[in-house]
Amino acid sequence: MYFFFAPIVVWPVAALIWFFTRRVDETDSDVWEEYGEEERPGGAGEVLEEA
Amino acid sequence: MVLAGEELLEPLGGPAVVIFLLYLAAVISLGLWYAKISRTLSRYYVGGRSLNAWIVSMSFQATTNTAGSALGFASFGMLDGYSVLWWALGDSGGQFVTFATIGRRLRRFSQIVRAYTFPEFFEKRYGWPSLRVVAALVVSLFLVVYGVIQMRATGIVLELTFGWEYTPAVLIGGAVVIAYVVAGGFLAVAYTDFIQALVMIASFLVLGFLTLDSVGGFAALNEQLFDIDPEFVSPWGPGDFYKSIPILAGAILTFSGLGYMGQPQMVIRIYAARTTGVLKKAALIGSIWASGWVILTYFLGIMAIAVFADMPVVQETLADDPDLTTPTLIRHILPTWLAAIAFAAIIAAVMSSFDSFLLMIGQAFTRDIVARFWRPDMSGERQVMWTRVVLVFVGILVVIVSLRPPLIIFDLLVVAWGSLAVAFAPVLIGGLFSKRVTPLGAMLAMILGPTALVATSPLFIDVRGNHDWHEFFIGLIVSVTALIIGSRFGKPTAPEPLENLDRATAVRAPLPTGGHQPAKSVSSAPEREVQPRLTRGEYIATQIPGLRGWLGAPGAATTS
Repeated sequence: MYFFFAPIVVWPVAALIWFFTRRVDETDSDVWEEYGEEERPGGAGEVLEEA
Repeated sequence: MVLAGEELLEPLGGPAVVIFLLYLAAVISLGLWYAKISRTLSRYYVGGRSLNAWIVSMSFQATTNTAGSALGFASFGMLDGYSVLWWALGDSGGQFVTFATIGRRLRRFSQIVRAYTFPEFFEKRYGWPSLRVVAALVVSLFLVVYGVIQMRATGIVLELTFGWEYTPAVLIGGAVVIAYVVAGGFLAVAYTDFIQALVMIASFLVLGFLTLDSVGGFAALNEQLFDIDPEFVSPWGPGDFYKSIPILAGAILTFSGLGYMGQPQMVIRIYAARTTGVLKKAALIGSIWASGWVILTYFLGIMAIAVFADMPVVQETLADDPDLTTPTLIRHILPTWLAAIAFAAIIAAVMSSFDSFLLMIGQAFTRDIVARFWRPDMSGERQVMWTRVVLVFVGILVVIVSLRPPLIIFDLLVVAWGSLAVAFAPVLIGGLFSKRVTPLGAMLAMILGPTALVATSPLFIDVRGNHDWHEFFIGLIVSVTALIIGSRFGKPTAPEPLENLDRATAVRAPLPTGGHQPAKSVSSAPEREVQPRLTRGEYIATQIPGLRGWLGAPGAATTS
């Protein structure tokens, strides 16, 4: 029966390994610097038209 | 006070109602609080992409876990014993798998193209507005179904807990959720979800420990279960049900990450995270929470087999309606005031899902249909106002329908999760990881996948016959095949969306200082050297010492 409690360990351990595996910049500062967040004036299709 | 007979089914008294009303007042207050700062489109739809890991993870989990898990999982556990925990294996890893695969790319892409709704991704990735309309319609249809079922569960639980009539119970529950969602938008939804997730896990943990204690501990529980029926402690379940590989795979995979990636109310949490780093931390927190919650909900049902073994009246009631397992256990094990909190947790599970469904429908209708095609010049603030109006109408409609739900709702519920998964997950993953997926492939997958699933489900024709293949796999295979074939023959995606995808998938080396701490905001970010953006190949080259100097890659001068 103890096998059935594997998810208690399996997924948190997988997430922990991923958490400490850092290969790239995770601050997304490039996106924040270039695109900010407050929406531009205009409608719902504005970005595609501007791109 | 331990109850043991018909009194278990009696409603709770006055103090419990007071505790529950205080809980409702708290979530409404939170919604009104966030109304003040949710005036812009970005904040109202995705919380200004400002959420930290705790809010992202907890709101993801609270939304995922509906009445189905708070009530239904225990009923499965009581019927099948330990073997139901196969389902937990896939389900508890859903958030981690979702965030680890599509998290970073989707988070960045959504900000670069300013996507605020789930259907909006498909237009801005594939450059075909029709995809957005189809996605918005599919999302609205199935989330209305979800919404009606959650409202119905609210009515039933309140009826059972406090003895309220079904109609006023649904009206009160619906009014509370509509109020805080309309007022505070996504921020209200996310922060109330956070509180609701805490209430859920805390009360169910207490219930779990006290129940285990009441049966004499883990070893004693297993002995009792074996004495009642050895199949309760068998890994393969009654009649060796799970020995079939397709059934076992279905149990593990149906609610795994693939299923989550098609659910708009889950994916939108990725849009709202502040950074990729936040998503990683959120996956860690969420997987711990989910592992506890999912196993606990099933395990309550398994323990209920032993707890109610000598209570024929209760057994008879639960045989008629297994969904009463958890409520009956709460009444049996917990003192009244704690039982009130546990019932509030069940209502919290329902409300924390219903609020997200409602918001997703309102957003899809307003931004993806009205503002996109009818009033393309509508400003962000006007879209927020429109969304609020739509939310009130949709909310009232869902509440009215749930007072007497038509049978089609229950039929659609059976296929809702799978249909959303096969419609969107392959298109989402394909679109983020391959430029060769074309708009035609996406459209075919989005339409043919769920159509195949619904057509081969017991709802219409059960073509499975004597074999075990679940309709989820049939829909998934059709969806992926359509995606591949449509992409083989369809017109390629326009260059603009692909350039945006390049920006989203660009890789930069980790910053030299700062560890995992993401920038709080653009304005408060400290001055630092701006590193050049690299392609993945260039980045990998920088990590291999021998290649650095040879390629003249960034970092060569400082590390050699």
